Amino acid sequence: MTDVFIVKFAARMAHNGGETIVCDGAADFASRLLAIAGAVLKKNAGAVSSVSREKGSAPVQQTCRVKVFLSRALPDSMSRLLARTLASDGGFELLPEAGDEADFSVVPASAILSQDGAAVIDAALVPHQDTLFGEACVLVAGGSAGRYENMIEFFAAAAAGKTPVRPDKIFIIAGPSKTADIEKQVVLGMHGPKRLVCAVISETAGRTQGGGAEKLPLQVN
Amino acid sequence: MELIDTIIKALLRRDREAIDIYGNAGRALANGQLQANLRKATSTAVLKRNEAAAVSETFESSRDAAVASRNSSIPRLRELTAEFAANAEKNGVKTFIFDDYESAAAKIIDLIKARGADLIVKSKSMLTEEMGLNARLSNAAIETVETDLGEFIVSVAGEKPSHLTAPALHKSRREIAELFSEKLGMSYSENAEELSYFARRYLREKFRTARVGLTGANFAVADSGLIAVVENEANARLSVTLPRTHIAVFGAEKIVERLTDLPHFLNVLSKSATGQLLNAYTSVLGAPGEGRERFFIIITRNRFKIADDPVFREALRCVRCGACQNICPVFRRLSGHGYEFAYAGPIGTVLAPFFEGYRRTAEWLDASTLCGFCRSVCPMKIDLPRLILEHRARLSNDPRAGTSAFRLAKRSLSRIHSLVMSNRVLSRLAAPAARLYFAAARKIFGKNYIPLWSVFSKRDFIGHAKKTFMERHFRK
Repeated sequence: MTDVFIVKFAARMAHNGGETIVCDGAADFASRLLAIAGAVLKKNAGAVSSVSREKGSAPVQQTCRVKVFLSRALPDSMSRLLARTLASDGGFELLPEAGDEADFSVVPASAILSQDGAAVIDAALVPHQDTLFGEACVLVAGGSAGRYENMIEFFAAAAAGKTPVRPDKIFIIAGPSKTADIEKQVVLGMHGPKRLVCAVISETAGRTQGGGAEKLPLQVN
Repeated sequence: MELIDTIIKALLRRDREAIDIYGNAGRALANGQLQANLRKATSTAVLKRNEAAAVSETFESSRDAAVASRNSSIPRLRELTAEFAANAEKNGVKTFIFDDYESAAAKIIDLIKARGADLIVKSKSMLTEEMGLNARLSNAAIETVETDLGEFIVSVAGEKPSHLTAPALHKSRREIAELFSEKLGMSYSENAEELSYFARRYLREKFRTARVGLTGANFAVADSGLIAVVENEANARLSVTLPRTHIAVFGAEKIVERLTDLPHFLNVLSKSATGQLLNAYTSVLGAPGEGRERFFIIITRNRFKIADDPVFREALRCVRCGACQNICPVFRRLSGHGYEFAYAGPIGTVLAPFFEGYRRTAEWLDASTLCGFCRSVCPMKIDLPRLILEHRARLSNDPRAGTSAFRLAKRSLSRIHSLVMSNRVLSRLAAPAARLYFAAARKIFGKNYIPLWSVFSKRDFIGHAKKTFMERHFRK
């Protein structure tokens, strides 16, 4: 199903403290997102029930909802699909702005770098706020996202104008926000999100039989 | 007899101008908690660095590329600084170049005051330590909030950072817990997560109210007028995102020639500094964007002087990763504070004489084992031991540094010693004479006492071997 490129990317992303999910198309991504959100929902429910024990009868139903922020930089079709899928489930609330109250935000990535286990965000499309706030950040590398072995290849392409990302808008994310300033112990979510999920949507995978993986180009351009 | 030594020691006072590195070492070694903190933090850092360097496909090739890039750019540093400034201006970033700290600080204060701000959020920058910026801002009634967790901890403690990338490396969890509960009213906890999240909440408010964010820059790219800021916490990104105005202050040595050189530097920095394949966030910053403003302040102080020095110019290759500090046997016991200078450890030893002069660094230059560990881990392949030796050679020729009675006496004694030992006849006579003397000394003083030894040496004298190496080697 998945090619060598994505396997390495996922391994390196894990090394950096992030998670990778490989999806067959946007619809699959939407359902995977639902699963992630379901896990958050369960966690929140746990947190709320402990609060409600203290405060008596808290409006559990309301506080239980998972707050999701969809970046405006996402392609319209994907935004609509995600909004529809999340709405059909009922336990979600779409936030109009990125903020600390978000359980997760969904943001498009313009390229992924396999050896570095990192994703490139186009700061011209995605405001910094979108990836700074909330508990978790979900990066979506769609079919059009560039694939590069490493930063060196990516910067060479950017300098030559061969990527849609302008050099002064390059922003690279490799893992969740973290610190190790207290006795070198890693603490996630220091100033930014605690969790980073990178969804790689490979539109050829699943659609083709058997040899589909080889058809994925290692590098777009 | 030992009383005489003490009196002589008092008369021949060490040069009070000089940084008292041996005194600091004695105090650091006596502090068991500090030794434990240093040992734990630096060993972890070394292991993580080695692992990341081993995993990476491109570490060694990027290392070579980065070294080559610096070798070609350092001799052209003046030119590249001007090129960078011109390109940054083209991007709409006001850029100022200063050689002295005062004018740079005055400019920064002006910019902040003009925006009606009395509070700024700041992310980690060693250059601001070098120029003492925080004190200058506080004199101008501007409150500076350090937002990097490590920097925040040392600023709450009223201390200075002790390491290039891990400013609170010298502090234990318990010490931080005590500090936060005492100074910030946090309910006491020694849990690293709770401590970190407390700081997160405390700093969130500051980010929201500050009108100006101040950061450093890890690299500046001449051909495109951009800077790159790398971090793990996201505090630098918050500092450039929430406040409307961003000021980046950095030294001219951060300038690289081309955009295509940049990834090589980012590649070696993340592995060498924190042992990561890549740090969590790498932001390339240029044009400020709608309704926002950005300023670059470039400091050239001593940079051009070092770039013009054919021997020392390689020190400007440094990317401030701190790998040489983590592995240095002296740093690992002395701690960064013992050096009394913004840049500690091996790279600090090489840079300090340019900033502080030979007189102040006279004793510091002796405080190196020249073991060469630093050279082996330096991502930029700086030959630190060779540069330290070169400093020692220059120090001995520096008339201003050698004037103290202590140094003169020390130097004359060492001259006499080397005259005797390099002369075949005298050294043959000296060895048995010394043996006779020490046999007597042990009877009289109970140890291998040498008059004046304790005045000049920090080590105990363990005595001579019975036979010289050559005698042992050639007689079976």
